Amino acid sequence: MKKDDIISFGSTIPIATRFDTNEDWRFERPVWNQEKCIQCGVCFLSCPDGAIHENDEGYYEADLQYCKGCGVCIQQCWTGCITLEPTVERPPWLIK
Amino acid sequence: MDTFSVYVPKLLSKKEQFLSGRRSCKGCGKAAAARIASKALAPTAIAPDQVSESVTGSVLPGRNFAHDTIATDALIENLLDTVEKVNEEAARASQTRHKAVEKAVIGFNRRILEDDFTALTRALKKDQSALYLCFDNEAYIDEMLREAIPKPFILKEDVHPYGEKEVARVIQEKHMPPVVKKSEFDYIATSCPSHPFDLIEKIKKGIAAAGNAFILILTPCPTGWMFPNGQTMRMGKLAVATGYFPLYEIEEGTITITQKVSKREPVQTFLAQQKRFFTLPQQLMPVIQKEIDTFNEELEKAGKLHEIFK
Repeated sequence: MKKDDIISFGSTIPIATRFDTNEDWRFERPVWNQEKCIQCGVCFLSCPDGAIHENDEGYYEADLQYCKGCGVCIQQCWTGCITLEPTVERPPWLIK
Repeated sequence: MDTFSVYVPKLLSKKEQFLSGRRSCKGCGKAAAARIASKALAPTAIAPDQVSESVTGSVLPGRNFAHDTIATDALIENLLDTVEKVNEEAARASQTRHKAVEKAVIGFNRRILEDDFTALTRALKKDQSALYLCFDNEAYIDEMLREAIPKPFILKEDVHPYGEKEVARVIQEKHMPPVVKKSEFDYIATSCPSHPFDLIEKIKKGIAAAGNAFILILTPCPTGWMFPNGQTMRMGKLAVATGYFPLYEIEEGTITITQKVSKREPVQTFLAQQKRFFTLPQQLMPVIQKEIDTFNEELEKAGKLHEIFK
């Protein structure tokens, strides 16, 4: 097992967090490309935190108060319209 | 997912019954399964406070969906008793046989079946029937995992080698816990959140069943199984595709496979992606593969319950 492998597995759980939001759990946030999106709702179904909801135009977006940035929606998306956009700098021991 | 059109998720209820903002890990499979279950039970389900509030991190004041550590015999029995009382009161008030609660749905961790195994058997003796959802993330000391931990070098005793018999028993118990084999259920099924509509249909069938029903749900766990947290659903799909966790249901004694796999992938592809198995002795791989193959072949041949559960 290389050093890179050790870093990449599992999820990162913060030790001390705020309890009103999940903002400090994530390093990236999901962004929808509306040109590619076919509004199927698979991301909405697969989100483990129930943080994705439909907006008035019929497209989907993440509730950034509760999104943990796990990336399950990106893996499930049919068209690949979701990408992760970094919001904060990762700590050096978690750089991929 | 294969048998449905792409736009089927649109048919589900938009109203969220599942609380966001829990302290579960990123990409938690158990949370995903509980959320899909809440979608299946959507307009009518009620979750009592004492049950739904407790543990994913027991000390922290996070909002949670399931009781992991405090669930004991007493809790399950209390729940069934309260359901019975509520039904009696509703019948008395309306002067009919109207039931306020049609069926109790109890979700618990697989570990309870190992520790407090009397909980299920005692609950089954009651008149009140229920649907039991058993979430299995294989994170309680799994026997395959325990064997993978290297022995300390100080220990100088003859260790019993982990042979074919033990592997066979572990693999058979993975597909269905032995408590379930002994007791009588009207509906038994296995499911996984990576096949969400399969899970939803099975929960609806379990509620419609006359007596008790049991659904075993495999929930991939990024922290325990050690894989990147975006891969939760993919891991579930791999477990089904390799035959490690075949999806089937047993209605009135007859077995039907709900997700048919035409060509099984080797189990190596599934096990190699989880870092929890990286110390597993490599000579056990063909044994595990053989056991999984024989179980799947038996399952395909068998038409009745007693042929597969010996």
